[in-house]
Amino acid sequence: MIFADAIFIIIVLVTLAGALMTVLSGSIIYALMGLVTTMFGIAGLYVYLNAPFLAMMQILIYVGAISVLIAFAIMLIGPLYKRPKEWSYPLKLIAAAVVALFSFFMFAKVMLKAQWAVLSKPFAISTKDIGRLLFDRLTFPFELISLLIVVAIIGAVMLSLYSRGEK
Amino acid sequence: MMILPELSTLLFSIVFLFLSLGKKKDSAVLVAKPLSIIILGISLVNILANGELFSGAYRIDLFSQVFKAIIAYGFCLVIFMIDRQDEIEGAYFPEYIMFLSFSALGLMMLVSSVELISIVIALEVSSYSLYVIIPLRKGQTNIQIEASVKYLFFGAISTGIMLFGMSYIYGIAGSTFLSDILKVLPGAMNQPIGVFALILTLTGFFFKLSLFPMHFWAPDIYEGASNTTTTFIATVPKIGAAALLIRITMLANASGAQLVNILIVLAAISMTLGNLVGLVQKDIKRLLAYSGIAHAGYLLMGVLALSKDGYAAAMYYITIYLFMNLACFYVMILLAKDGRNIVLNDLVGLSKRAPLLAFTLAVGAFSLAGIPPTGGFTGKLFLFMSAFREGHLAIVIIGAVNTAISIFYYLNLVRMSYSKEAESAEPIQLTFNEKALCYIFIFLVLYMGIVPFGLLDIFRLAV
Repeated sequence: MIFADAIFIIIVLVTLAGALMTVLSGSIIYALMGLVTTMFGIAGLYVYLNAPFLAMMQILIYVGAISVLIAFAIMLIGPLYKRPKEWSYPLKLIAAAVVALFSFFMFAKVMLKAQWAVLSKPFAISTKDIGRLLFDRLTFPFELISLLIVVAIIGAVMLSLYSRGEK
Repeated sequence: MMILPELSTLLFSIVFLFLSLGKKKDSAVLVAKPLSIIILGISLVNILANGELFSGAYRIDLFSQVFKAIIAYGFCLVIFMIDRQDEIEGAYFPEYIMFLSFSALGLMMLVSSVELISIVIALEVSSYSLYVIIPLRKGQTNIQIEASVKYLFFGAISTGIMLFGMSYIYGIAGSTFLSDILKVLPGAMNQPIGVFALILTLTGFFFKLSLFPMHFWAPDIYEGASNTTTTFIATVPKIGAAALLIRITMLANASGAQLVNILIVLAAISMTLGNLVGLVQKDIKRLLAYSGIAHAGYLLMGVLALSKDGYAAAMYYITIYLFMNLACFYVMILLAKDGRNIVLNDLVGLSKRAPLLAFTLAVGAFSLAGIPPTGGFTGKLFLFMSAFREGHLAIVIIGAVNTAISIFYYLNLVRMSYSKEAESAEPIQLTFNEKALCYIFIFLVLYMGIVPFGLLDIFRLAV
C-alpha cells in the first residue's frame, strides 16, 4: 500500500510541476513541455482511477496530437518564441493566484461537504463497455461528433484560403 | 419521419457545400430563399411529432418542435435579410450560408437533445460555425478578426466551465441522461454541490444568451462582425440557449430555492448593467448588444419562477425578442449599403429619407423598450406576472425600474430618426422584397403584442 501511495504522490507532484512550468516559464517551448508533462501526469491519475482506456487516450490525443499541433503552431508563427513581458508581470500573477486559490478552496469545500452516492460495486468500466456504450446508448453524440468534425474541417480550410486572399 | 426538420437543414447545408465548389457563386442566395422556406414549412408541419430516438438521447416533443419552428423561422428571415451581399466576400457566399445553416442545425439538435454529451456537441456544432463566419467581412480593418478570436476564446472557456459543471452532475447522478438526472438531482439541491453543478452547467447557455457573468463578449463581437452575421448571432442562438436554460432549470424541479436566489442576482445585475451601459452607446450595434444583455436578464425572470407559466412566458419573450431584434437589425442592414457600422447620427432624418424604415425602427425600438401595444410590452408583462406570482417581488421592481431606464435610449433611436432634420435628405430606394420584409416585421411585432393568447397557449402546452 505504501508503494502505491508513493507512486500516487509522485504522479501528483509531476502533474503540479508541469502545470507550474506551463504557467511560469519564460519560453513558450518550455511551457509546451510543461503542458506535456501535465498531460502525462493526468494520464497517470486516470490509471490510478481504474480507467486505463482513458489514460491511453489521454496520451494518444493530448501528448501525441495536440502538443505536436501546438509545437507546429509555435514554429509557424515564429517570433513568439520568447513569451512577451506583458504576459507575466507581477500584478497579473498575483491576481491570477488569488483567483485560482479562492476557487480551489471553494470547490474543495463544496466537494468535501457533498454527500456522494455510495456505489454498491466498484466503478470500473472496461474498454469493451465503452465501445458498447458508444454504439448503443450514446450513438447520437458519437454520430454528432462526425458532423462537428466536418464543420471544423471545412471551416479551417475556408479560413486558410480566406487568409491567403484566394477567391 | 420525426427528424425531418433536421434532415432538411442538413440537406440545405450539403447543397451549399456543393454550390461552394462550383463557379456561379452569386446565384447562391436565389437558391437559399426557397429552400429556407421549405425548411420552415417542414418544421411547421412536424410540430406535433412525438417520440424518442437513439435510445432516449434525442426526444421529440412539442417543446422541441416549437423551438425548432422558431429557429427555422429566424433562420429563414435572416436568409431573406442577406439579400444585399456587399458585406461578405462574394467568393465565400455559399460557404457563408452553409455555415449559417449548420449553426441552425446545431441549435435544432440542441433543443431536442436530452443527454448531456449530446447537448455539448450540438452546442459546439452551432458555435464552431459562428466562429468561422465572423471574419468574413469585406472592406474593414482588423476588427472582424479580433471579434472572431475573442468569440472563440470566450466560447471555449464557457464550454469548459459548462463541462466542469456537467462532470459534477454526472458525479451526483451517475448518468448523462436528463431523465435519470431528474430522479436524483432534486434531492441534491439542498447541498452546495447541486447548486454549483447546475449553475456551472448553465454557464454555457449564459454565454450564448450574453447574461451577466458571461456577457463581456457581446459588444465587441457585435461591433466586429458584419451586420448580417451580427443579426444571426444576436437572435437565433439565443433561442436555443433559452430552450436549454428552461430544460436544465427544470431538473431542479421545485427544490431549487438556492438556485433561484443566484438566478435573481444574475438577472438583476444583467439588466442593470446592460441598461446603464447602453445609455451612453453611440454605435447602434453596441447599443443593441447591451440591450441584449439587459433582455437576457428579463428573460431569466421567467425561468427563475420555476413554474409552467414562467417557462411559457420566457418562450414567448424569446420569440418576440427574435422579431423585434430582427426588425432593428434589418433597418441597419438596409441603411449601411457598404456594410459599415451605423452610428446614432446616421439615423438623422430617416423619416424623410425612408418613412417605412423609420417606422420599422420605431416599432422595433418601442417593442424593445416595452411600450404597448407592441409585443415587447406583452412579453414583459407575462414575465413580470410569472415572477410576481412566485413571490419574487424584488426582481419585479428592479425589472420595472430598468424598463423605465431603457426607454431613454430606445426612444433616442426614434427621436433621431423622426425629429431631427438632415442636411441632405436623399431618399433610400427600397425594393419590393425589402418593403415586404419590413411590413412582415411590423405585423409580427404588433400581432404578438395585441393577440398573445393563441401562441401563449401553445407554449404553455409545450413546457
